[in-house]
Amino acid sequence: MKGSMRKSFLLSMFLAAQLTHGVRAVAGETSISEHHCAPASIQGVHTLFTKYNEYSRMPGAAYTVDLAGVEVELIRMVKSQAKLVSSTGKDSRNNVWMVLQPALVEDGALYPRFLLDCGVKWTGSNRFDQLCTLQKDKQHFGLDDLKMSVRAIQGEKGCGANQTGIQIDVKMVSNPAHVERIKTGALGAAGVLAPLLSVLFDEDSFFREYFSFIYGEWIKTL
Amino acid sequence: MKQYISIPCLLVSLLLAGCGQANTANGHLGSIDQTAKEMKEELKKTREFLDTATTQSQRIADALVSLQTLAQDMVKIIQTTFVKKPPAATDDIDSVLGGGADEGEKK
Repeated sequence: MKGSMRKSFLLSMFLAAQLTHGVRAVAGETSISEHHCAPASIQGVHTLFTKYNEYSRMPGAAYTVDLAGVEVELIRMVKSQAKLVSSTGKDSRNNVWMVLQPALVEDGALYPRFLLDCGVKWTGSNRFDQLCTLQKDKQHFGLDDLKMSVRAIQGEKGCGANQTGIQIDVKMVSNPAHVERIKTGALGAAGVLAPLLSVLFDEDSFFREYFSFIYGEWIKTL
Repeated sequence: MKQYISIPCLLVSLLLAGCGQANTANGHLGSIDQTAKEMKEELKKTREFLDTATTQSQRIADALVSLQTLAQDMVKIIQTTFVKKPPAATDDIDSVLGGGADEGEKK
């Protein structure tokens, strides 16, 4: 499958966090901090990161692992919808609805989902900031909080002349009770694989790995 | 001065010499017999060791076949378990924007 991540069985499970970037987990709150130099113009990066309606069809939507030589899809973004709230010049603000389908979970009520408020602000002709925050007063499941911050600067020091530096910072707070329900839903269908799946759906790594994977896959397309 | 050895004395001397050689030969035979016994014992041990090793090798071979079968079964289980299914119906953004935070919990 295109965009899939190959890993060896068990030993390298969820070591995707080694993406040359720092990944840190602190009691419930998890964060990702990554920096990339992408071979693209600032406009190309902007287009990629603001294709909200396309997120579920872009590479990285499905996160797969290799289990005993079998490529297994652990989680997939199955819905990404956007509604423009406002736009001023090149700046924009959107409501973005995301739904994720974990493997083996058949009950849609157990799908992680959240509504994001995504704002993009250009701070110069060669740079923009994007900040997406979870709207806590709207329907959400799996996460209690999520902040996805992107700062893109074309010609950034440290990157090549024709490259754009992309700093990505994600902070998320998973809901332990929700994650437990997701695990229970998945484990019930896992049969003898339940112990294995229990490891795969580890609360700390569940969302962190997915978001880290998504950004990595997106940037590969630039 | 002439020395004389009497016939009886000569006979006795020959007899004694013969006895000595016979004793020596007897000693050699005893040693060979002991060595043969030890070799036989060693051969017995070696045969037992080889028999055991053959059994163990067979067991290891059997275990490898079992493991291979187990691995194949595991692959089949994984393939069967992780069959991709279409996503369940979920809310669209319009209904989410019109609803509250707890809507998802009630579903």
